[in-house]
Amino acid sequence: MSSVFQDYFTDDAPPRNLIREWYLLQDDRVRAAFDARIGFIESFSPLDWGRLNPIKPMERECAGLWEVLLDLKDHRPYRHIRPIGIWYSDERLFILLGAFEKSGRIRTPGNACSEAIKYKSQYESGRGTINDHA
Amino acid sequence: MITPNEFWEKLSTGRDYRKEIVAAMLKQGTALQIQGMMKQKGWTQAQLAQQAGLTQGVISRASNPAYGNLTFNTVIDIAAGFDVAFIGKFVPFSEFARWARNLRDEITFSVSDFETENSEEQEQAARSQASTEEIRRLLSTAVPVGHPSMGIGILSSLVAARERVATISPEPAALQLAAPRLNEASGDRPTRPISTPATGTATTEISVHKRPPRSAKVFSPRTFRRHRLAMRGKRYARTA
Repeated sequence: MSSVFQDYFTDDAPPRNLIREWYLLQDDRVRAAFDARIGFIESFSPLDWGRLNPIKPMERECAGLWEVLLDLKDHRPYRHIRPIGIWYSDERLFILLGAFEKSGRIRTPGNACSEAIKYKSQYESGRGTINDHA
Repeated sequence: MITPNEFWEKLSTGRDYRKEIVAAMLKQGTALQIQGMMKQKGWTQAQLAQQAGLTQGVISRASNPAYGNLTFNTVIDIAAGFDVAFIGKFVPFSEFARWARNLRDEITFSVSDFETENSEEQEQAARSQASTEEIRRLLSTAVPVGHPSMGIGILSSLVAARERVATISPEPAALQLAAPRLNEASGDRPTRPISTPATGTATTEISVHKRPPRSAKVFSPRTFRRHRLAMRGKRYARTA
């Protein structure tokens, strides 16, 4: 069974697509790697990934969120991209709430986790909408 | 799931994006397939490394979608370790887009190695040979080739042979084998296509006659002896 990614739209006027906003700020290398990774996760079950399962639960100040591991190590500079959101493993549904780039312990943008947690609670209280990832 | 139009729109954003998406899909796909094939065979990285003549570290990197610095030589060694082929080819982006949309079908983990395929081929060849032998046997008993008195009497056996040929082996190759024999027996008369149950109309045509050719002379034994004596007399007359 494959997985589904959906974008979260805030209840602002006009609604904001958080992952789209992040995506548009990235260069082609990150955009392409992100698109490819989403495509592969949607096409293959987590069982196919084995030990390389790219969806992991987050800890500490990001606890409650899940991250998609996206490491670009094919050439320098190595980059570690982390799209984050809510993962419903039973439905294999990942709701994208944003993303950040990790360099050691530094995240860019720095408030990515706190923002995502805020929108997670909004979504869980019925605010905002979700739609197929595009 | 991204739609084909959305994907094409992304490809249209620029050459750099197109280069990066091809790289990302190829690198992640190859790594995932290596890992999936190892799992399918129940092999560890060390076992694949031994089969491929590489180190376990190389296999670890090759099966990691984040690495993506595989050389052709490493990929070919890994393919040899699995005893499968690896094809890389240049394609237009329309084909790439179709491939990317059908990843689950395009990237399979169950890939037969050469030995498995070879034994399957041999079994198939043996089956084909057996049916060919059966057709030869049928033709030699049912159709008396070159029989001077071919007529209505053998029509039924000819038709029966044709039907059994079609039943035993609907393969065009088998029909091709049968066709000359049947045509020879029936004297190259106008033909009509033969239908087989499995394949519909076969490409080979086999002629079947409802009566013997008009040119064929039918002699009774007495007439034949008289004719032969007459011919001998003519020869004597010519030499004398």
